[in-house]
Amino acid sequence: MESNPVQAKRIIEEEHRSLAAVLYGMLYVVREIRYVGIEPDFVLLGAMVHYIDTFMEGFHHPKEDAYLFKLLGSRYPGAAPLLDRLKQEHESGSVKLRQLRQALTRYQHGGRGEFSEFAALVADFAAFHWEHMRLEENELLPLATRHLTDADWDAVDAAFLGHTNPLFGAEQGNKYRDLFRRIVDLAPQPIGVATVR
Amino acid sequence: MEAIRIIVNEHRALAAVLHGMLYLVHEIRDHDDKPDFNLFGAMIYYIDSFPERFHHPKEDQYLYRLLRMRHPEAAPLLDRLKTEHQVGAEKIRTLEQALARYQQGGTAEFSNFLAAVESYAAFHWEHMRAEEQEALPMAEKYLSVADWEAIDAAFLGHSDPMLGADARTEFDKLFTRIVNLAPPPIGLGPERQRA
Repeated sequence: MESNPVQAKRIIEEEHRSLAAVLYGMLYVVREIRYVGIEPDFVLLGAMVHYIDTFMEGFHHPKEDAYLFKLLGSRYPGAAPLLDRLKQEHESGSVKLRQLRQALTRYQHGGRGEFSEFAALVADFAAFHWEHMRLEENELLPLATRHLTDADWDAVDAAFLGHTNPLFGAEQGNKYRDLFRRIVDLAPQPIGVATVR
Repeated sequence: MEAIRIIVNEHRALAAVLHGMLYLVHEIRDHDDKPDFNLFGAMIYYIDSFPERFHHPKEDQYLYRLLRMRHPEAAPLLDRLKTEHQVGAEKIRTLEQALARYQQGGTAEFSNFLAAVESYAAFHWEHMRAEEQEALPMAEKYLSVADWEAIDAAFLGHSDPMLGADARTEFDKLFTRIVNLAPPPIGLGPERQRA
């Protein structure tokens, strides 16, 4: 198969855009609850957290860790501090996600008194991931472009296109697209297509 | 020693909810019961907020703190119980994640949720057992009358309103809500639905 170094980078940037859309959506919903007084839609909020959980933990980060980070680390030892930081952020991201989930459960079952903690964690989580994605796009990808060989990119692309591990393949990708679609269907305008309440 | 009665009562309330959760997951496993996610959510919220915000702070800040001063040999046991309070908080987050994955991801995620419920219940039972059979007898032996007055005041909510009767009433309401949602034989809610 003819491979093209642009594939993995394009896929990472697209996946970042999907995540950013959901993070933005959560911030939007939280603001509506706080300033407009709309009732929280826990089905929507649950679907959003679930998307971030499965997509990031089960699909996006494992590909970065197991292929791109690993190869860049072996080709260019100077990238070690950056790679250590990004890997560390993948781990602290898991911890933050569980805290966010806990805050959502507390808000859903504990009522209004739990809202401000949930809102604060959503803001923190979104800021954390924006900075993380910015670092990957502005520092990691340019380093990878400079130091990976054509054969490296073939391997990375194969992984990102799901040819190496079916768990990272198109079928899984479709599953996440369905989850994303569900969020868009549930979310009110302007972030989704649901009827405004 | 009003505090001992209160601790044991609070353990019973927690044990009842843990038992209820185990019962429900086993019914799902053995009889294909349809999961009631609203009920599971309420149960997990209870075993999250009640120990972390109400039950453990009283133990840590009053009973165990004084026992450590009066009887330094209790330190290994008290260190262990304190660590378990922290580990328990992390385990609750794992359990919440497992429930959400089950709710969103469907039956493929059930076995993971079942394992998380069983692991949490076993962990917490052992923790309450160590408190009731090891820490409380030590406290009865080594604390002074004045110590117990301070501890009882805290456990009756006279020292910190967050640990007082109003907070207690909120958790009692939550417990009642769980009982009203839960199906017989663990609660008063509607009969279970088979999938």
